[in-house]
Amino acid sequence: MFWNLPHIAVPADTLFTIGPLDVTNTLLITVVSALVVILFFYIPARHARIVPRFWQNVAEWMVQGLLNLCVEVAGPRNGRRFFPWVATIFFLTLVGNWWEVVPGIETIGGISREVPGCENLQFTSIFLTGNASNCITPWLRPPSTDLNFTLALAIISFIATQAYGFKLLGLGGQLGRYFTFKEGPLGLIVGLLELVLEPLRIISLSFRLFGNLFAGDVLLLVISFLLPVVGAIPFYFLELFVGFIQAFVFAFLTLIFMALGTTIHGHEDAEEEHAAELAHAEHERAAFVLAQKERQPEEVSVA
Amino acid sequence: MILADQLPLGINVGNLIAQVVTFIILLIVLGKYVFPLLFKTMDQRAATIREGVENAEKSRRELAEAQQRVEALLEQARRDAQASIGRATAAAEQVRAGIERDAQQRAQDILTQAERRIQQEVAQARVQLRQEVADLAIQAAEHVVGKSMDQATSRRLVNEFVAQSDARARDLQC
Repeated sequence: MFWNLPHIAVPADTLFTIGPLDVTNTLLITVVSALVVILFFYIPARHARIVPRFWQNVAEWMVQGLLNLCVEVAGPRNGRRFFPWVATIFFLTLVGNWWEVVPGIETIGGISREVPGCENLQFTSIFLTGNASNCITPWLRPPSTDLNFTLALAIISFIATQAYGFKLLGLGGQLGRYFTFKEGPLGLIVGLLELVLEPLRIISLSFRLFGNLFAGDVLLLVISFLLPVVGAIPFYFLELFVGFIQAFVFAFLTLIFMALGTTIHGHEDAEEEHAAELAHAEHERAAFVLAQKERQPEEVSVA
Repeated sequence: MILADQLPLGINVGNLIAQVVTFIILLIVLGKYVFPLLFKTMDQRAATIREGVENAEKSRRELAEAQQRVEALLEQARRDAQASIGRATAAAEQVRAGIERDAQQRAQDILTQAERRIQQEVAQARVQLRQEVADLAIQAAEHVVGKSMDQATSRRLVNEFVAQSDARARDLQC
């Protein structure tokens, strides 16, 4: 055989340790992804112009699109409040997912003797071929193929949702979402069911992302093994699409949960509140325009 | 140690916490330092565009008003010009009528003078003709009678004859 099927394992590979912390290849690439996201937005934001250039235009387009989505779902005030959470989840996950199709990811790394069959092999080249082709610990692996990453995001999403619920609804309001007696026994049961289901969202969120991305990763590895070089090309496009969709789904679900979590169960005035928020935003906009006008000297009108 | 313990499916508490910390750091950096910069620029741009649109709208209104004023001024000027032309036409008409009247008067005067002169000349010619006729008649009578008549008597007779002829001619004309 020219090459073996790559070694597939669910746990991420530890590269080195810092004290009690195992630094895995997925943790390393999460940090790299975070830096990429920061640089991608910081550089155009730092040198922002009123007439944007290409990079700034792209960054603003993405931010504005996501902000509009947040405002549409959660209203103007809560939309802006939830935006940093949703945007951070989306961009970090997106960049993390797209590492999957970058050459060198999962194919460059150190030699691993822990893989079955690699214990007694002699390695004579930096290129691993034949039976040694799967004896590798990749230095970088897409973060979403590690349950630690997806679980961390899901826990953050859950905690942020609950925190905003307590902050915006108050202790009584937030607990009232689960222990409601106004709507009779049925309402109470629904509330309790919601209480039980709330933490289960962590599992659904984390396993959805992990499952999709891990399956895609395995798909690419297997196809590359069966039909190297050209076989995986169509699947790269598929994985780009899946990576985007999964990042969007995770971020959008977080936004939905946050919007729902800050609405009192059976609240009938929600639409009125939303309308009031819109009116408030419009009022603020008008005040801003007025202030801008007052700052400027009076223009001499055309006689 | 619990941080290093590997749970099923590769879950590692230390790694999980590290992922959470990484996310929180990214959230703080983006939320506090990066996105506000972008929002500031976008808000500034929105305000600039809004202001530009409002200024354009204001300019459009002012232009429309200026055009209306120009139209009104043009209309006024047109009316004034029309009135001036009317006045000038009336004055010219008056002058023309005056000139025509004077010319007619003058022509009438010339005509009257000419008629008078003609009448005078006619009268003068008639007197002269009467004398010549009288002379011819006397000469003819002398030939007929064969003797000369005294000059004064002859002339008186002829003049009476001519006067009667004139009167008869006038009666016939009437």
